[in-house]
Amino acid sequence: MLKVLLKKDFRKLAKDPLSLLFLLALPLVITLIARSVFSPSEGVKFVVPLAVVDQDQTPLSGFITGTLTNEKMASLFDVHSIPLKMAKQQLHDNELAGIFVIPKGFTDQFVNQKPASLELTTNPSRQISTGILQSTFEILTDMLDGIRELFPEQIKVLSEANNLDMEAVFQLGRSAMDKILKEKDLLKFPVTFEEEKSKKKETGSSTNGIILAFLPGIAFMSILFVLSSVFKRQGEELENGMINRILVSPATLNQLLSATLIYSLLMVFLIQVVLWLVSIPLFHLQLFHILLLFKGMVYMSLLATLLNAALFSLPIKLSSIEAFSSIVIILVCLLSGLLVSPLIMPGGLRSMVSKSPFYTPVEVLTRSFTNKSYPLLTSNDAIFTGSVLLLLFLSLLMFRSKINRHRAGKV
Amino acid sequence: MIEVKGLSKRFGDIRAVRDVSFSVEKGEIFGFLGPNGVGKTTSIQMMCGLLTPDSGTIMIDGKELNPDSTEVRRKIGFVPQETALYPDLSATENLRFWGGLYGLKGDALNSRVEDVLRLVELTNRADDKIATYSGGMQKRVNLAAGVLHNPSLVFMDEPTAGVDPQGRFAILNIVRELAASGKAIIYTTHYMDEAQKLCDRIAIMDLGEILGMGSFEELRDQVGKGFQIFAKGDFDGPKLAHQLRKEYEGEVLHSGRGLLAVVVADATELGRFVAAMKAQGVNADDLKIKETDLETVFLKLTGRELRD
Repeated sequence: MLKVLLKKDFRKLAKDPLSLLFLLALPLVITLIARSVFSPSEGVKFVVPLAVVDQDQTPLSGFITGTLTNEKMASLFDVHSIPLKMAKQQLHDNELAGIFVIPKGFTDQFVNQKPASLELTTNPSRQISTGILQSTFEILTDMLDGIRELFPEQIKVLSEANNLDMEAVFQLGRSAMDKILKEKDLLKFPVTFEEEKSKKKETGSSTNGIILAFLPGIAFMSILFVLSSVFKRQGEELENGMINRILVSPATLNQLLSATLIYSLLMVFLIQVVLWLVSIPLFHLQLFHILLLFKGMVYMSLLATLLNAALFSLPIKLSSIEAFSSIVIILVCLLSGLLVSPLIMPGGLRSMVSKSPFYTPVEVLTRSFTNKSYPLLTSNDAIFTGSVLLLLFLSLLMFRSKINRHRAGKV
Repeated sequence: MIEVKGLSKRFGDIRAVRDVSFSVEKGEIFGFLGPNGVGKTTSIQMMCGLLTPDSGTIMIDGKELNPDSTEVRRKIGFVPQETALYPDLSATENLRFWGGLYGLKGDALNSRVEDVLRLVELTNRADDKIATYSGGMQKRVNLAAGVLHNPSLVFMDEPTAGVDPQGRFAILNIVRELAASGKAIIYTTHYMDEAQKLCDRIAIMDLGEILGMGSFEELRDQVGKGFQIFAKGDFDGPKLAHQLRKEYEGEVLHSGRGLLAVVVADATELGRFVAAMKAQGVNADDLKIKETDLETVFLKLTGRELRD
């Protein structure tokens, strides 16, 4: 029975070339928007402008600075060794993405096994560059922690010698460097400094940042649109007697609802497949980020299915649902950070939205497109999936009940 | 083929169907006649298994209809009032879908699709989208979809609603053919001429109840063979009936505000009736005389006219 119902739905889809075109064009458009946000123009160098201020002036601080100016890392960073005051001015003028400061006394603290801190100031209008800097900074601090953990004896000797042996430091650093070079692949953050910079000069704002803020919303809205048409059609069939006719046959209401749900999920899966196929070569995605992208799309699809099922289960007529749905969808999207990224929300609201489990799909999708490291599973995943599935189940029960009420002439 | 006993359904305070009982044999066309909202569709929906009755039983081919009775549901064909077809699909594709729901497949399905398309005379348009069909043609495919799986009992809920006279004629012929092939047909309509010409037996429904049931001749006999005069105008019907009683001795069929209907033996009585009205100083805006038909029967049984 399910096969017959699904076959009919796909036949209808095949007979409607505009819908089919939209379904296939949708992921292409999403990917191209993402590409325009995250990817470079041909032949443009991928570099992040960074000022390094070495206030410590020790061989260790020199080694840290050296890791950033290393030949291989030079493909990622355009490092300027300038005084702090000048660096702050350049940051203010949006010429730098960040300032990396090695404060005075850092080496002392480090070799004596005391808390040692490095400082990173980022440019808030350069969200993408900020992402790269933060990731690099995390790896760098991890590396330094690792050196202290792995080579405590050598660190002790260095500390007691009261005078750092350059050769010893570089030996320690070599293994750490291997790590940073391995991690560098994860940092392949396809952004053009020149392009970004020139846009900023023209517009005086972070154009790409704004597109980035809206991208998950565009993706979500598109999925929502596809699913909405599926549920809307079900509503129309309810009102024009089609469902009644189906239910006179040996088909049951549960089979009918199951077929609708399966069809919706297959539609979304089709969108995902096209999106993956296009994204993988465009973004050189690694397996991890493909999985992350898959998770993000599945979450968005679940959320969109829930929203539709909930809306169409309300005891109101289809015409009213259409008017009502736009208001509800906008509110839900705003609150879950789908329509507008928390990055451009005021502080309190940003904090609330970005910590919400319902923000998980946006976060996952953004990070998968930006090739950022992110845990594949977090506690928010469990909360999000559990609550969405529960709500979806309740909505489907309500939808079923609505069909029964409609059959009894009560809606 | 179907036996219904004491069927009742209530929606809140409204009693939509009250104690409906009847039976229909194979090859019989049984009509449900009544205006909109009197419980015809509710009755049909209960008999199709779409609605659960509050009380009463429905036996189809000796087996009781219940929500899980797949076997019984296979014997039922349903032609809804709405054109329940997919406009983007062709007639063949629509029919293949409906056939598939009843478990038809392969050659058996293809053969049945061809048969019903031939029945509704749409073989030449079989591969065109339903959206390109005229209203009458869509209704014919709608009917074809209801009988595709060769049911022994077919419910038709106003299948000619909104169809032009030519289209109605075609559909009525198909219904007769189906009955001739041995199918029991339950047919709801609010077109009296349609019920009178088509149905072997008719149940007249009003306010959820069957007020009269039988063949047209049997129902007509409840009113009397003869003729009826219907006068409409700006007058008080009951008062006029009382005044006319002195000069005219016809049986009053119905009297109401602006309407008086009387039974007369033959058509020549019309002159005497008009003269009697004039003697009372009353003029009719609309005056007609006709042989007893279902409209007369309906008026007699329900006390109101059946309006389309």
